[in-house]
Amino acid sequence: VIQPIHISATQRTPEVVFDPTQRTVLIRGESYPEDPFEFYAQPLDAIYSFLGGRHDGQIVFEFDLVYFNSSSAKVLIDLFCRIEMSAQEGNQIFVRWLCEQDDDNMQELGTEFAQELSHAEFRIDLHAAD
Amino acid sequence: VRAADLLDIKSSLEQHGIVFSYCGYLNDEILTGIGQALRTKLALQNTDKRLSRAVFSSMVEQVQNVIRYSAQVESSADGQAEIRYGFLAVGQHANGKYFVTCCNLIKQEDVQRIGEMLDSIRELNRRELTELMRAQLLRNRPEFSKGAGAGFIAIARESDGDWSYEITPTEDKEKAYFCLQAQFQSNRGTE
Repeated sequence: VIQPIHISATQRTPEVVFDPTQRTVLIRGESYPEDPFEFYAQPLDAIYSFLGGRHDGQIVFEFDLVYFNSSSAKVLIDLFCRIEMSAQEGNQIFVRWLCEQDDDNMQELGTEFAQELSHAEFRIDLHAAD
Repeated sequence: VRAADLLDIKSSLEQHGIVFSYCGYLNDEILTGIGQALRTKLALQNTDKRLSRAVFSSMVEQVQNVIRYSAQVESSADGQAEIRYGFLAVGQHANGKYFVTCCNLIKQEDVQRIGEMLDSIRELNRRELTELMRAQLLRNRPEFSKGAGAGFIAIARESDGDWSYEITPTEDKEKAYFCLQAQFQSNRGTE
């Protein structure tokens, strides 16, 4: 049985929630850890083994990031590549990229990263105005 | 140090428009603290949100360069503890442009690689830098890099190409001072 994961946010690391029952992954908040590869290793290992073990499931990924640095961007694009691989293997994957309405930069980055996705579905959603 | 000397340094910083500065050994905790203070300051003066985000992002990338690569470094005997020296300055020019400047020592052997890397992205616009960043992120991590090797591209992109650098050898030619300045227009149009 794959265990759920819930990592709370800090000033510089995001909340990470992986619910294998609901089949959802959420990454929300800030991301500029001292070592992003180390920070994301444990949750991503669990998520990758979950993805690897099935080929006909529905999984939703939600990214709701305020800021991420360039080393976190490396982790994110690797994740997008794994998502695409898993979608090619038959999983139905839905990626939701949430941004502030005035954050054209975050929208631009989401659109750019989404170029890795063709079998997985990608959508940008804007937060409601304050 | 006499109070008058410190005040001289302070007024010199102010004359250059520098609002935030840190000169000394940096680590990730200091980066987090500077980040929080910088965001608060930008919010208090009602800085445009897009601009604030770009300034913040450039500060993080530049300070992380110091923390990871500055050639002025002190480490413990077991290699567990390590801090590196750099000079960060954030401020506003008389023309209203914000700037994030960071200086640190680099090794002589890195001078050519860093110079060539920066020269190769000199003429690129934001769109091209965004594409290049994705391409760089898709590559395996370069061996010299503790991050993604995309920090300079990110800074160039966030400043919409409005950046410059200088590399000045130290007197003994063993190392060089590396200074990178990124600038940010307050009325950047949306693309």
